[in-house]
Amino acid sequence: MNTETLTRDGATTRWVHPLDGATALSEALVPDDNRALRSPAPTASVESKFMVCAEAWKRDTRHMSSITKIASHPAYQEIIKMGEVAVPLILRELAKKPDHWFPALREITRHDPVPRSSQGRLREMTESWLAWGRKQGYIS
Amino acid sequence: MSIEEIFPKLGGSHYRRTSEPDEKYNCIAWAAGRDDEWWDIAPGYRWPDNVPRHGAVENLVKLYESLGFVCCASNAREEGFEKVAVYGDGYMWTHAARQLDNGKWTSKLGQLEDIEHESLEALSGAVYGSVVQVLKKPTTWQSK
Repeated sequence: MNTETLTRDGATTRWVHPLDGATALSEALVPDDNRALRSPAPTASVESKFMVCAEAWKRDTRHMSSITKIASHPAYQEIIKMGEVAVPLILRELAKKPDHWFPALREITRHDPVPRSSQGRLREMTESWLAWGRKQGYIS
Repeated sequence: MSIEEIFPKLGGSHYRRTSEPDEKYNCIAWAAGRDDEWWDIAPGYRWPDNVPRHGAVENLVKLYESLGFVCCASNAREEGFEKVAVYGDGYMWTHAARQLDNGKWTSKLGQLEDIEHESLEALSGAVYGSVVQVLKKPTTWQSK
């Protein structure tokens, strides 16, 4: 079911989402700075820890609908604590399958490359973050 | 874990799976009839501008009110109305279900599958808490 409505705004006809009060795009929280150039590559032990945490998080939160609850899982918080070194690992996971890594990426990088029109659309959110990651040099 | 292990009251109740697991949408959007978006208060997710981005039950009620629903007292089927039920675990919302034309309920279980369940009680428990508010609005489309 699609509840979007067609509205006329002056001379312009546009699609407006039922939850939207505006159609402006969101912008990055801070300018891009090629921070990956300063970021160390994850070691095997870091990658191993990440994978253990990621699996625990996925296993325990599949049935949850609240991102607040999903992102408050201890394993997810542990990944956030890993900081910038976790970013390429998260992006690699995102490239495999869309998932709710966005709050962690936002928290670690202080960026949000997802345009407003893509909010809530997991595949589009994923593409925005992957494009940002490539631009920043976190992934190729 | 199976969904009956996660939601013990489902075992022994009448329910059936109605979809495969799908990460694209959650129960909040599904209760409003959407199967293409994840609606949540977290930054970067879909949420109405005029409803606070906070997980209090009252804010999820406000979301459905912004879509034309009004609070009501009964979860019984009423001809000409569709209903949604909001679950909460105390102060915070946890889940929402939508009533179907046959009087049963449809729920999207996080990133897992949709199910059709006869009672709202079947999903109550440690994970989703219990139903804290039911809302209704005149039927404007055929429920899935």
